[in-house]
Amino acid sequence: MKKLNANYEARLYKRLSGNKVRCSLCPRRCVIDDGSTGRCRVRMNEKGKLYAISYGRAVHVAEEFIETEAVFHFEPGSRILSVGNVGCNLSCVYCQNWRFSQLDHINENDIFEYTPEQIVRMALEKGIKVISWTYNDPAIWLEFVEDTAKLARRHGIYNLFKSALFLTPEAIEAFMDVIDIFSISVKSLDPDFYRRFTGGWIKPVIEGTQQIFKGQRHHMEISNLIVTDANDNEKDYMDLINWVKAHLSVDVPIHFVRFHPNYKYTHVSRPTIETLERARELAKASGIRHCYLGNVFMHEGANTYCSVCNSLLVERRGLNAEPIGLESGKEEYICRRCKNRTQIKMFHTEESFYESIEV
Amino acid sequence: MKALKYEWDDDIWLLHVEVNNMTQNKRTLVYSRVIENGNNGGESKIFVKPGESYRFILSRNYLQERSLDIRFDNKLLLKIFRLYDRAYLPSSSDMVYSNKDIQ
Repeated sequence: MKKLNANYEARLYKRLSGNKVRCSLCPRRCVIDDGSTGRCRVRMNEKGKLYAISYGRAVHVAEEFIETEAVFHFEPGSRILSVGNVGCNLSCVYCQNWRFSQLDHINENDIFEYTPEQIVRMALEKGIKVISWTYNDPAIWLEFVEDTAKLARRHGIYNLFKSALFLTPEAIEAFMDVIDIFSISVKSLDPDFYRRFTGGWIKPVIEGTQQIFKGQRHHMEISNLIVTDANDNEKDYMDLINWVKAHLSVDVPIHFVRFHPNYKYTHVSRPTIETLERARELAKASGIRHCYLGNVFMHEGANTYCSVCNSLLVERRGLNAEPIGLESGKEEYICRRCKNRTQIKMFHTEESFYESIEV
Repeated sequence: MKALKYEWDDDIWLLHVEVNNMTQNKRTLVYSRVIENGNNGGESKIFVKPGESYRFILSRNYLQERSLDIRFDNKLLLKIFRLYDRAYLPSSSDMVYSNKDIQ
């Protein structure tokens, strides 16, 4: 992979003897020889220093909607600026974005270079209040995310992190300091699933998700990609549902998302809509207050209903979200009909949230 | 202005539209949704500043929505990519239209 002119020293690593380093970004904790990269191939040791060689190397940024990221309970319908990088610390066989996550398949024509200032300026110019770190896993460009997110926050811009969360506790802590919204992809509760399909393992994902939840400082939603013949069965749905109930909360929204065959997993068809509906039925019957279907066009399973009076709060068609049953509250919307607090967060309105600085 | 009609199909209901303005002047792109009964959902206008490359997502928002009418300044470079999922990031190989395809 082409290295940038400027060298960006990585964070979260230790120097070892013999010019080796140990990266502590992800649970692999790669020990990297001088001149080599870690498993992710975007963190390189040069003479005993670790460099983040993908710093600023991004796919074309895109204006999207917050619903794109499986976030339905934070200012519905918000425009977001989606920013993605290259590489990944996982290697899911069904990866939807493998042309960017798996470095051997990248077309250099699809890659651009950005600075944190350019990203923030773009968001400000377009009046976009959320930067979304997404597409490939943003975990692996910690340094660029941190630098940009800090600058964005000084301008009153929120940061959304869409991740599989295969990270060390110290990396999660670093992201918790700069991220406002976590959309976490929990692929399965079955350790064997992670081993067979992702190239990672489950424990750090589960522990990391609980770490963020216990912090009580962030908005969190969970998504589960339903993959045909891999995790499309009732045991898998119930394991996820029961784990959310036991270790997070019935108020954390769950999104069951429809996969499409891709990368090395093309021998199956998409899961049926009935399959996803069954998962949602089980979640609702188990007491999960809000469960959604993802990647299903025009389905009531994308709407939000009041957990008290069941009136329609947000109607979603395509990526269009109409908050027809919501009224502004203090920090969250309330149901227009029964005045229940919906736990759908609103943007800050206080002026003190913003700093007036030049980008 | 150049014009393009994009017909939705059953599998794809999301697009990325990328417009690149290499000129010194602000340029525009206009799109509208064509609904089954021949109505359209009103026009949306996108301004692209000089030197800007801007990409945005468009979704099919109604079951009765059949196509998108897109008109754009002759000097703009346009690319349209099909998205297979909402979190899908299209690559060059997913591009279905560019300027050379459009009169």
